[in-house]
Amino acid sequence: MDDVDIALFDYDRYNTLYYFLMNADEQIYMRYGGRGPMSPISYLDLSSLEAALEQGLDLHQQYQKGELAKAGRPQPLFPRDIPAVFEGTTQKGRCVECHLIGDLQNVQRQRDGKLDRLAHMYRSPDIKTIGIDLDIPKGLVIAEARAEAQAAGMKPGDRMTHLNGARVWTFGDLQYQYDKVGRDAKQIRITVERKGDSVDLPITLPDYWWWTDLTYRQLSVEPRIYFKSRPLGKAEKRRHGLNPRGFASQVTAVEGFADILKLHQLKPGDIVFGVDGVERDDIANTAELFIKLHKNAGDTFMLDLLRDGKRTKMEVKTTSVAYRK
Amino acid sequence: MGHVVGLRRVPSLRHVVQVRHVLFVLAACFVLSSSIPLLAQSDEISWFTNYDEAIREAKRTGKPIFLEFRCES
Repeated sequence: MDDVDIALFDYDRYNTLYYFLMNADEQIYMRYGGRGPMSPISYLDLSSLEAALEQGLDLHQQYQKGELAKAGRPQPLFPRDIPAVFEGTTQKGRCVECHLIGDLQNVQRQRDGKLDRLAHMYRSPDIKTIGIDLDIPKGLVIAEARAEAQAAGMKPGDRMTHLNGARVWTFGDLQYQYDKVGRDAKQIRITVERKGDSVDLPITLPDYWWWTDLTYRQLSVEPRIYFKSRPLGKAEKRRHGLNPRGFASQVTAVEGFADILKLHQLKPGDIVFGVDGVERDDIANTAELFIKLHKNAGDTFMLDLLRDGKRTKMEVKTTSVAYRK
Repeated sequence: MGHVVGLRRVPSLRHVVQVRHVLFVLAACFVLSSSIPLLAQSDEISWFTNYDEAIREAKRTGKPIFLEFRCES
C-alpha cells in the first residue's frame, strides 16, 4: 500500500475486502464492501455486487457523455507521509498493510493530540443499532425497519438512496457516509425511494448509536482491559448507595488474558463504580467504556468497586494490542 | 478467505464482466496470496496488479476500473 493514495482510497482499513468502481480520471463512482460487527462478509453478496456493477457501468456511460459532474479530489496522502506508519512499516522493512495503516494512523493521531476516540476507534457504526435490516442481495433495500428507523417511517421495500444528502448506491457507500456522521449528531436524514417517489426520513439517533464492538479491531491506542460489563439502572445504583448519575456497572465476563497478563483480578458480579476516583462521565455509561475513552493503552489506575457488598479498591493495568507487530 | 473462494465459483460475476467488458484491476493491498492468480486463471479475468498500467489501459479502452483492496484479518 506504500504507493496508494489513502486519501483518495479512503475506507475503514478493517475491511477484509473492499472495492472501488472508478474511471481512468480516478473519479470514484461507488464503493462495494463494508462489514458488520460479527463478520467481515455480512454485507458481501454476489447479487448485490452484480447490481452495483450494472449501476456503475451506467454511471460510467453518463460520465463519458458529460452527464455526470466531476468530483473533487482530496489532497493526496501516502502512508509514508504519516510518521507512525512509516516507522512501523517501511522503516522496518515491513509491508504497508491495510490494518497497519488503520492502526498506526490512530497512533499518529494520539501523538498529535488529534485522536477522537468516538470517531477513530468506534468506526463504522452498525445500522442495525437504529433498526435498519437490509435485504442484502438487493443492496440498499430494507428488509425490516425497527426502532428509530421504523419510528421515522422507514418501511420494508424502501430503497435507500441518500444519507444526509450524499448519494449512496451500495452498503459500502452507506457505511462510509454513516461513519462520517459526527458522533454528537442527534439526527440523520435518510432518503428512500418508495414506489417511484423520493421520501426523506429524519431518523433520531439513540444514545450510543456510534458504539461498535472493537473485538475484531487491533487498535494500538485502545486500552485492552479484558472484561465486559453492563450499566446498572438508577434503582440498582441507589440500592447499592452509589451515585445514580454515575457509570457504575457490573462485570459480566472476564477474559483469561486478564489473569495471564496479570492486569487485574476482577470477577463477574463485581460492581465498578469509580476509576481513579471519578464516578461519572458525560458519555460513558460503564466503567469499561470510561476506561476506553479516557485511559491510554499501558496505563495503570485504581478502580473503586463493590465486591460481595463491600467497598474496595483494585489496581488495574491495561495493555495494547497491535496488528502483526 | 471464504468469500474470495465464493467469488471464484459464481458465474454471474464473470458474465457481467465478459458481457459488459468491465476492466478489472487488482490493486495489491498487501498480501497477494496464491488465490488471486488462480482467480484470474480459472475465471479468465484479466487482473492488473500495477495501478498505473491499469489507468493507462482504462484510458486506452474507455473502460471503467474495478479496484480491489484485499486484506487478511
